[in-house]
Amino acid sequence: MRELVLLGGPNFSGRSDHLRDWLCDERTAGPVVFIGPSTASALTGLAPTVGAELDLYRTRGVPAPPEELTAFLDPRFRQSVTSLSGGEQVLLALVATGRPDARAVAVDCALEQLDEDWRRWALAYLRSAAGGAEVRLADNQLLPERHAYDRVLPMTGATGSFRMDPEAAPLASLGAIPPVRLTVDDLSFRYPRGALVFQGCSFELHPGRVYRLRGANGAGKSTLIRLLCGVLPIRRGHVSIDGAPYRPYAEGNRVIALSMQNPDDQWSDIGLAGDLGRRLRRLHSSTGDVSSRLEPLLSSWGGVFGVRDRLRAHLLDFPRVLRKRLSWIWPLSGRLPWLVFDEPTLGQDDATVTRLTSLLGHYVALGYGVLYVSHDRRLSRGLPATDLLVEDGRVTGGD
Amino acid sequence: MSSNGLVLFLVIAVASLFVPSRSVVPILVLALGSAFTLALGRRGVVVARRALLSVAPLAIFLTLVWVVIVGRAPEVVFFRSTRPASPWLSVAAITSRLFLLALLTFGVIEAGSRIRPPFVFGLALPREARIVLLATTSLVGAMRLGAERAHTALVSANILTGRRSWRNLAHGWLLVRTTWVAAVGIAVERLDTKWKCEDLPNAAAAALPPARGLNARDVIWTSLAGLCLCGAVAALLR
Repeated sequence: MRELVLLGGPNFSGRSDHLRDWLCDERTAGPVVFIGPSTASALTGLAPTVGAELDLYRTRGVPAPPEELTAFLDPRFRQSVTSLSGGEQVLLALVATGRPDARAVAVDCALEQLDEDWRRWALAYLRSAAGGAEVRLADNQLLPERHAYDRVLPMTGATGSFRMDPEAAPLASLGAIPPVRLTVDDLSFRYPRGALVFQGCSFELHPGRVYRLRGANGAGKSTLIRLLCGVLPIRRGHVSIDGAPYRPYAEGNRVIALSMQNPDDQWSDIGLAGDLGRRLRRLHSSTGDVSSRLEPLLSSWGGVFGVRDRLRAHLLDFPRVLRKRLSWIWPLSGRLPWLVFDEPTLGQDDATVTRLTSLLGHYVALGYGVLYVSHDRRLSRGLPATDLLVEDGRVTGGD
Repeated sequence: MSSNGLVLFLVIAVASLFVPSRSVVPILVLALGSAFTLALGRRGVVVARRALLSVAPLAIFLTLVWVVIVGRAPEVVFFRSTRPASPWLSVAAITSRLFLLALLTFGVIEAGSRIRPPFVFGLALPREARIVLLATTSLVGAMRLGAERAHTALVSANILTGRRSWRNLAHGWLLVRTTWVAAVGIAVERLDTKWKCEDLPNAAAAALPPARGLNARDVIWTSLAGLCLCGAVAALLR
């Protein structure tokens, strides 16, 4: 049995730095495995397909994946690793932790992307895999589950930097937004040369309500959001807003302000000011003067997230957990009627989740619609929502 | 084919394309092209189609210029050759060479990228060179991922549209810039996390078996390419 050690502490207490430094030290005595929360930090980057990634693990002494993962990975053997969803990538990366000669395994907030069943399985697998490796985890949802880990290693690094201050949010300046009802009718979708993701889905989203998109890893939750935002084409089925046909792929997205699962997928510029400026310019191209709108917006939200004096810094200069928070600014700026969040609380501590849910409550009261994808129970506790279940190519629940 | 065989096949086949003898080119193209397409198996058809699409615009252009407008072969015009030369045959020779070049290049990239780590580590090169090559080829993945990210960011922000549009043409530079920034970000994050902690790709290189020589299949394919090269040279000397 391996020992599972949970790193205790809020965001910016030095957990990620600790994991990296620990592994670099342990590496001198034996093989180590690191799984981070993104494609770049979870997978090797050396293999283009799932099969090639598994081959690479095998050459490094990793045994064949356990039965549960084989059933999951086999159909995806020839797929590109980047075509997997965030949770699926974590499951693939977990195979590498089975290496019996591993000396140390570090998992940095990666398990937060897994649904409850896989998460429970992953924790059991980390503990029961062969060898005597010590496993250290940074995970914001694990602390109450005392049976899942052996001990807590408290982190005492600097806290309080980039503290989120929702009081500074410019909620008073949010205008009343015309309510927009989104209707999806008979939607079917399949990736090129891929499996069918949706078949004949129909549902309706009403303004002034909160919806939670639920479903197992790889069920198609993020794909559905990409379809609604026009990133992917809707070849069969229709979307309408208040009864009028809406074709986001052809016409462009003018309803949804999206905060993506991986914040780094979202930036259209190297700095926050450039990114927001570009979005606003596109939105207000007919009404001119974007800079007069941009500066107050940046200043207010910069204050909320503790970066007022670094608004033009390179985004990669900020820690990942802060980049995730900064990715909320676009929906929270209130420029579009639907606020959509893909795994918004990934890597966020309890205090930040509470602040986000209280902020979103204000938007709902003003008539904005909120749709989020999350496996995080803290979020559903703080922001009660109508469930939409994505399962077997269908979306059920809702109104 | 092994990676060494594939690279050797490519070198010989490309060399045979540069032998300036027009009469054997169609046979060469037919022999090497079909052999290579077969060697790639199912992906061969995709690669052949891609090569055909990339050469087709040039073939149309050359046909228009030399067959429809000029009406004579380029060598008659430029080199005042006294040999009777059909412009059709000339254009066919030029485009078939280009087609084979495209087919071979795409084919090797395709074969290599599907099996990237074993392909690079199978090459008969010093260990350090293979590590550098592996790290370098991993940037292809970073660029692809970067392009996906950039496209998603710009389309979801309504700066570009998912479908072809004039707006996309006007803002295409933005996609290129965002892709570049995203790819650099991915590479930096990878270096700072996974690669740094696990000492990849050094650890991967240490775990793989040493490079091997040519196998039986390699010998067959490279011999075929060698025969084509000899045929082209013999036709030139005749």
